[in-house]
Amino acid sequence: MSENIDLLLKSIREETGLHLCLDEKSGDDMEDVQRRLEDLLQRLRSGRSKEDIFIHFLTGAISPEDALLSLPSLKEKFGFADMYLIYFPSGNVHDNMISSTISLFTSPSSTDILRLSDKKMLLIYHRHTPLSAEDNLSFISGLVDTINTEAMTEAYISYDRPVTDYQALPTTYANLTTALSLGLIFKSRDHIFLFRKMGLIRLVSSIPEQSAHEYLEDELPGVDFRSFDNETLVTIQTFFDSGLNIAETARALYLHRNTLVYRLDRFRKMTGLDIRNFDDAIKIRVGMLLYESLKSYK
Amino acid sequence: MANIKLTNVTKIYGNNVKAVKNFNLDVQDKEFIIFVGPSGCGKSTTLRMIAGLEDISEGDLYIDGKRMNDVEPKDRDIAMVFQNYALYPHMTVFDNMAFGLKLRKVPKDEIKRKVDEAADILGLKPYLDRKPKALSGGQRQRVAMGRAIVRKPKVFLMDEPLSNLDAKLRVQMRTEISRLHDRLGATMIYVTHDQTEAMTLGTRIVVMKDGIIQQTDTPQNLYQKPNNLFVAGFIGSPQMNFMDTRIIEENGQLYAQVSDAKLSIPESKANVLKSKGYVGRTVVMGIRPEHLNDAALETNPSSNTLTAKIRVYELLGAEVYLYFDYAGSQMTARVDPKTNAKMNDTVTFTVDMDMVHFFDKDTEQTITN
Repeated sequence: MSENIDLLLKSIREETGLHLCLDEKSGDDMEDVQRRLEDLLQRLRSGRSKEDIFIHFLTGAISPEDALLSLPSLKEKFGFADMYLIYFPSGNVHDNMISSTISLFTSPSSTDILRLSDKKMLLIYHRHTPLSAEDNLSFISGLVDTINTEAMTEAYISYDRPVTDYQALPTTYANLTTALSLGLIFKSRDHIFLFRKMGLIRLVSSIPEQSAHEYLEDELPGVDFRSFDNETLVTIQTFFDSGLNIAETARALYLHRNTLVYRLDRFRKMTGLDIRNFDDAIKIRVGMLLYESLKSYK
Repeated sequence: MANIKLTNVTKIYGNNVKAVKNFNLDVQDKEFIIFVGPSGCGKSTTLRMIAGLEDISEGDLYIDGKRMNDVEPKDRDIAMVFQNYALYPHMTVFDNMAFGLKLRKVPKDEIKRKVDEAADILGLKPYLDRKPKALSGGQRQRVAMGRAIVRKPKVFLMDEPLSNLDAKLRVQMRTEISRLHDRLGATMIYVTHDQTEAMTLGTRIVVMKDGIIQQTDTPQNLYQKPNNLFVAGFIGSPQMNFMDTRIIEENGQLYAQVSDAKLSIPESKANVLKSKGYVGRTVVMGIRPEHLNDAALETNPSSNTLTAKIRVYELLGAEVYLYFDYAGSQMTARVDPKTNAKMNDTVTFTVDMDMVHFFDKDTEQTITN
């Protein structure tokens, strides 16, 4: 069978779930078969809504060229856009309270709302000028808090850099999905996940399971992450956030300096690692992320 | 009626970390309860569990005697005001406040009545036809509060609602929220990281750290009788001064030995230290800045003194803050503005030993309170 026919069968399978098999002994002309498969694919696609086609494009199921055939305005429309992926763990995107609340932040002329599943929604804002990082975060924080207080449900939002070319949409969408799944594992207390601020988490989560185990055994033998209680974790995280500065950390935790030093000494006795030492701090940071990553495999 | 009861409430996240541990609290109807503590202490998580936005991992939540663990937030008869509230820019003040009621299909005339009533309470009646961009920061904050008030909930839950306001506006809005509480007669639970805000607003304050309640008490008791080092250091501005002190006994009198100073301990505190076996041991002594006085200004200065060189002098108008180092600790004294002390001067301070606090160095718990 020709490569083109293979690709067409694959597209039909991915886009519709239909598994078609060709009888190579039928003696049909392969060019004719290819033409008929192309017609079939075209008809199947034209029967689909524009929203469905766009979603398939976002998920990489159809190519930018094929998407452009069905959605010719795609190129001009996505001159500059911000995308936000919203996840409602307890809510439903079709719920009136949620959709009404969201609609107050959108306008038909400049926003697209895509309901990807019962729990996930994609908001796309077409802008003339980019928002600053601060304004963007402020907007998203307002959206999360308003969903909490008005729709009275929880929400998590992931976002990335703005899209400036329609061909980048699938990559950006993939980034948002990655940021959301990793955020829910590694930053479960947060509600807003910015893809480009999750570099270390992305790197660590890509390490194969076997390599992760080996790293923990070699670099952190005997360290039991399960024994880290909330006080320890908050202390460690605040110490990292304060740039390994004792005075800053003590201030942020409202602790006397001596109390903080006592905690860090206790940590060193427990783990054999001195978090005040840069190399040990790196080991602990990476080790904790690997531990979370390994747990998510189970 | 809106009593709230939390019994052994615990929140465990996916990484098995207990963000809130065995939280127990009874909130009476109409109380104004504050949850206060540093970032990451679990105060917002606890509030969100009461709201139903976070699941409760262990323990029980009751509102008016009814168990709420599995009840949806919209069915708990609560209203929330959060830090990053967003007013709908293309709606008037009236429509912003009415929005939640419209979602719930409340009849139009009832919406009008409730919005007018809330607007009256909040002083927003002249602004009902305006859009948010025509409002001041304080007015916008009041609209956000109005959206909650119109629902006439049993409980108001507020999470750092004033954090995005400038300092002056925060102080102004604080008094408005306090007044609102009195006028509405509602149960309110308010989260803040600002201890000043907590002390001025609450009838009772829950101080949290690392997911655990450190002390639940009135503002006065928290200030005067802190249970542990953390509460003592967290409550009060400037912060309480802490020094390692050795308790010694000479001729039946107990002294707190700090560097070259020997400070005589009042009988009531001495008896407690003796009975608990602290003689000869090192403890942490806490002194609030206002209990260190410039000896030069006193007609009969106490013999309990310590002397140090001033690093920084700050005149605040009605008082002066003097910063100095003593026995390895950075200290602050809040003294009368009549002081002649200046930077680099060596100053003798009297210590009001009736007002000092002693804490166990290992457990950090109070010994004498």
